[in-house]
Amino acid sequence: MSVLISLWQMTVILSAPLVLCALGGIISYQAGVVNIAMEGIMLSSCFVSVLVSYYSHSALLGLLAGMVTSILVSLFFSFFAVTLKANNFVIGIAINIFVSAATLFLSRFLPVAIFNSPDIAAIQKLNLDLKIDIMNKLFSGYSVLIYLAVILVFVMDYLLYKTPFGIRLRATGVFPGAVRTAGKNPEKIRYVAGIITGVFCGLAGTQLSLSNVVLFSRDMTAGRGFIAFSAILIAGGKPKRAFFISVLFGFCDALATQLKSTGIPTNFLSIIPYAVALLTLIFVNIRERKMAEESV
Amino acid sequence: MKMMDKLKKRSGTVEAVILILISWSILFFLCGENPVQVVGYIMSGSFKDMGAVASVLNKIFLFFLLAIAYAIPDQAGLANVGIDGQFIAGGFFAALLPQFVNTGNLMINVGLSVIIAMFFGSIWAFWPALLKVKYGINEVVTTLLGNYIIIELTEYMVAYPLRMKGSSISRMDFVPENFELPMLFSSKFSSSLIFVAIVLAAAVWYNKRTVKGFEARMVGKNLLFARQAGINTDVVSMRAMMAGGAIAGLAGAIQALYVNHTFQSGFTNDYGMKGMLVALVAMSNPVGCFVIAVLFGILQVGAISMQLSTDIPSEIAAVLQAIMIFFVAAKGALVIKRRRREK
Repeated sequence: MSVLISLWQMTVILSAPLVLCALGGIISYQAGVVNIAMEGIMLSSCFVSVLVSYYSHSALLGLLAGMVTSILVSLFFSFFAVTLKANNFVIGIAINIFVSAATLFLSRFLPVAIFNSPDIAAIQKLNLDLKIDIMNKLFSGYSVLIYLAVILVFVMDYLLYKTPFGIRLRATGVFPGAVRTAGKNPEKIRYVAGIITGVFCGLAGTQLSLSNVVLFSRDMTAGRGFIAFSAILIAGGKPKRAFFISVLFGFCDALATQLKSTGIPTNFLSIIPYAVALLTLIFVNIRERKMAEESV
Repeated sequence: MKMMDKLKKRSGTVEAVILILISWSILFFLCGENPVQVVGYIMSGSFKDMGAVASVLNKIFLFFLLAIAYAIPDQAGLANVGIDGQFIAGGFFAALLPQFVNTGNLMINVGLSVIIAMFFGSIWAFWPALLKVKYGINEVVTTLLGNYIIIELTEYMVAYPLRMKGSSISRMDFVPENFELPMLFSSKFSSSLIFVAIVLAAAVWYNKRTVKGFEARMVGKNLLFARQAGINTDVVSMRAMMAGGAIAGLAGAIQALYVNHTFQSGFTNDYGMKGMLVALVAMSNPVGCFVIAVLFGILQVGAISMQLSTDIPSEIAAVLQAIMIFFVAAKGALVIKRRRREK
């Protein structure tokens, strides 16, 4: 039983960055900007959060700094993607490589011990007292950001589908020309979307480096940005669906971690999240194609 | 008047190069070093002795092949981000072959290895291409996830079943001597030079001169138009992707047979991504790929010795490379904008 409980807990913890990142990506996706740079945006936030948290001993400052950084990186991406209209994939991947290299490069200027130090302030955990012991184990004691992530799913859903801003955003994704004719500036909307993406990926990055673990290591995002991107594609850009898909991927990650102690080689286990993401993406797409063809 | 027309037609390469050099210099300044000195260290590090030169050449060839592996599909409109995986596939099987087959003849051995490597490289490129063509699944995501998967798979293979006995790091058995790429005419240069030259010539020729190359470029530029013109875009796309995979596999074979003499953990060392960067900066032009590969090779090797003479970490090489891409991408987009405005 306790195995199941810790599996649940691990799932929650490991899904959180994916959920946050996916939500961030959804905003851009719905606005018509394919943001492959989320990996780099997240990583930059991981790095800066740890750094600032170490020196200021404040997780909150670390969080804010991380968010500012990822907003900046996201704006950088938006500049190339929206204004210069360069190839999104090219720029996205370039940013990912750049951030990976830059964080490694910058970390060489500082003592190595910083990035793994017990002095880094972690995000506060929230301890709800739910009276029943098992409810406590399942739902209490997680980082503040994790609870925030769940709330944000509903916020995003509301934002996208029930506010004028959301409608304009989605219209920009479908037909920017119409938005321009209606008097709004699609480029500005895409920039705003980019900023929001930065905020969410910043939260994801901070959750990764100040809560899941409390350190920074090279390329610690480990492809999560791409997994989140797969989740967005599979979910068709819908926040609630993306939430479930992200949790599914998080579960696979947790499963792999739990199975480590059973002696199955870790390499196989590490494959599980990626393979599941890939296979799900493939199957969902194939099914959609078949359904589309049948309905013609 | 003629001067103005010429100015307008310029593709902005000169400006881009100047901006790149300026930002590099700024970066060097921020690290507390004199840019000219830094460049000096990088250059001298790359050329200080034959060993260094050989090292630089190896990197150049590697970068070039991987860049071509990205560039060919790119010309046909596909982003082959899976070169890391194809590189691994090629290298893995090239290094594995000696354990099963050894004809005793160097030429045949190497030839077999190369063919096997190219075969598996193109297989690893086959399935993302198929998914894209048949179901429209974005090839960037499939190839990227595929990369992670094949890395873990091969890491496992060399950590346990295929691990060389008594080796402290995960690697296969060493490739026997009669599988190693020979030196050219008793010089210190590897015969992989021949492969590179062949590939370069073939790529340029194919691109500009053959019907298939033309088709590939058309598909890359405008899929619908190409279809209307009767080109079978599916076949063209898959062919391009698999060709890219084959070349990445070739690079893997060279790396395994000549440089590492084995397949080991951490085989890719991100070379795939760096090769992609080369292609991006060169805008997928084959000759450009070679030029930029030279640049990247010098940077890569020189940065290490630069680290010894200054306080700048060698990781700066990747940062410098990324800066190049941004400016090139910006320039490319600005040129398109300017041309649009002129119309």
